[in-house]
Amino acid sequence: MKNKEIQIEEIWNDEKKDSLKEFITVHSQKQSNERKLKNELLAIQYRIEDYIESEIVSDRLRVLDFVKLYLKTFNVTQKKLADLFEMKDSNLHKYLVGERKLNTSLVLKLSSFSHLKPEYWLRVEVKNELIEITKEKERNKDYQKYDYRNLLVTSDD
Amino acid sequence: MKVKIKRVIDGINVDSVIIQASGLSLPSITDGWRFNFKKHSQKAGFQTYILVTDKTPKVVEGCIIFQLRDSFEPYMAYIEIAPHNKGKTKTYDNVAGCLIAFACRLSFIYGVEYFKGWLTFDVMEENRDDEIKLMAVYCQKYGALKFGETTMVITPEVGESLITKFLN
Repeated sequence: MKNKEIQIEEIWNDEKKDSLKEFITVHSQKQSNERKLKNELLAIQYRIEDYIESEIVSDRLRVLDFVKLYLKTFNVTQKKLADLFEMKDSNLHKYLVGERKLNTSLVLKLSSFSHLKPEYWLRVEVKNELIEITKEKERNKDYQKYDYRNLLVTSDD
Repeated sequence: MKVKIKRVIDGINVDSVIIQASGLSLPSITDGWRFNFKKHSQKAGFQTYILVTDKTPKVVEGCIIFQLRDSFEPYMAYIEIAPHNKGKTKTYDNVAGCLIAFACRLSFIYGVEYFKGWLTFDVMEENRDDEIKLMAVYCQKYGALKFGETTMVITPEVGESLITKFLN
């Protein structure tokens, strides 16, 4: 029967599921610590890429949200990161939550810390600014009055 | 996600995207596909993605369904390339590679603890000989390991190299 579709349920049972889980767990445990860390870091990198590339964003994520993923992976505090960056924790926090705009120095520090290209961090900030702009545009239609054509009409008068 | 697939006739890399298929028309058995993506995409916990070129966004070149089994284990439930991308007269190459690499990428993002970066899937053919041949292709072309009768596993190392090869 050419049109018969094979169903996943036909080939899976609990015993097979369990033995596969065991296989992966055993092999995963055998991975070097470096490899395990690489897996975690790649996962964060891909999350950042998806965030900055996505056209539709349901939740706005701050630089801090991504930095927190690294801190959790490395099991270090934000205070420790601030020490590493030779900054006060409170000052660093303002940059990470978006109260202050990222500067060149901090972008390069984040890049060195995460082993990601500097533009990743810059693009998170730009993405968030674009989200804000889109929201403001939807909230406030008043900006239409700044159309250059209004200026030309005024000049003609 | 932006990808490139190779047009067989002239070897040119064509700009394409892999996008979530929610709300889009999905292929089915009646369209000449082997799996009913229209039906399976409705199942809870299944994430369906299609690969389309920028120039022909309504033509599905390939489709996958990714599942996080038991909330921690990445599993590629279904993968299929369009009928016109199979055999000697296929239109595009690298469609399967891009989709498998994409599933590997999802396995890094969604896999939990020991399962981070590990992707499993099953090769299911009506004919056992075809199944064995296809498994051999997955082994040779994509570095998948055979587990049991029909299951295959892609390790994080291999997944990372597939991502580098097909998605960058």
